[in-house]
Amino acid sequence: MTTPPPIDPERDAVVDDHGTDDPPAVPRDPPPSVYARFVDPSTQGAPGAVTRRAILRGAVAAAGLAVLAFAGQTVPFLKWISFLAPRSGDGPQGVPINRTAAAAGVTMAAQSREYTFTVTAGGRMKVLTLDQLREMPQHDSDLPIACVEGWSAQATWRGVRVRDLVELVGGDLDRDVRFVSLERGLYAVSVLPANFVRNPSSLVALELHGETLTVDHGYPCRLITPNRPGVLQTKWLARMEVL
Amino acid sequence: MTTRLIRALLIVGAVPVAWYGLSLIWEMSPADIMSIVVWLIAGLIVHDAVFAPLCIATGHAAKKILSQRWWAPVLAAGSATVLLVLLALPVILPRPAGKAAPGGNESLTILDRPYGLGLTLAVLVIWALVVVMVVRNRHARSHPHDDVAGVHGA
Repeated sequence: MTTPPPIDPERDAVVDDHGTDDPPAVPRDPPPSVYARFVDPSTQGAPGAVTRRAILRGAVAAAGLAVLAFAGQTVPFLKWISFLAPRSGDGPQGVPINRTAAAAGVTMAAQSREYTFTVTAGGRMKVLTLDQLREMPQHDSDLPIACVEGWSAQATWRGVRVRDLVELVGGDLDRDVRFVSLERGLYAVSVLPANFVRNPSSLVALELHGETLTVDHGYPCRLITPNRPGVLQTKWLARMEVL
Repeated sequence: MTTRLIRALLIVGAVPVAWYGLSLIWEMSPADIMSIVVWLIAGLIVHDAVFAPLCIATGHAAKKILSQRWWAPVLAAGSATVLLVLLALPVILPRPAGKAAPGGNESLTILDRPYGLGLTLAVLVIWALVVVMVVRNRHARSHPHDDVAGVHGA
């Protein structure tokens, strides 16, 4: 850019006011940076010029737009506008699904009439049918599925408290509990620390939003606990072991 | 003085953080470290050798073609459009053959929005705003603000 900096008559007039002894009027501002000269050669302040302020505003607006495009995955009231979110937040029974029963290879086992849920503590063991689980005291928990992929969905779950099941076999509430799924693979097992076991919100859930869990949500029963990532909310539970 | 202090504080804060980050990378397998290095270098080359020259060429062409009052709105809208298109690629591009949705499942709750429509609408809104801004600026120039006139008159 070879354009000379614009001369501002008003500023020169002010400099001259200091008196005739002053050295010849020199621009007081530091020379514009390469960046400023490139972006804004001679049009500072003119309407429509690309000023530094315009660039900053544009950058902030673009960043805000990028946030809006995805934020609805976690912020419910932005769901409608998050046009690039990989998950809309909808799904069967109002909750998205990550791993389906088909992908986990448990569709048959989960819907089998022979299904039982085993609870062990030390040498003691109880084998419960689904009906026996349903006959135990049922409790509600409002807890989100919060996935490490970057989405979350709030839900109301209903089922048996984990601590009730531990007490059913005379287990110690100061012990961690291991939950084992019907599925095989990376997330087939999760260990629930003792303080989560005692938490009254921690459930072996049988229902979601007032309906029996669908098989993709973990039918016959799944773990749901506060403040743990979705992959540890084990689905299609087969047994729990007080450690 | 203040600038120096801020710089010093930034350096004092950043060095331990950078050290911690490096220590985390150092624990990874050599293959993973190589992968990080390759991505860093490739990203640098793609940005500086391909993307930046394209931006400069586009900018020079746009300055020749467009009158000055279009520059700022078009620059902002152009950046926003490029940003949105880049962010949209993962959800718009067809999945590679043989690769299902992330997680290796056929869940219907992923990629369940009309992404093409959403992106098109967003880009249309952005460029409509450009027209609004230009018209508004032209209006502002043809009707100078009363306050400014008052100051000059005084």
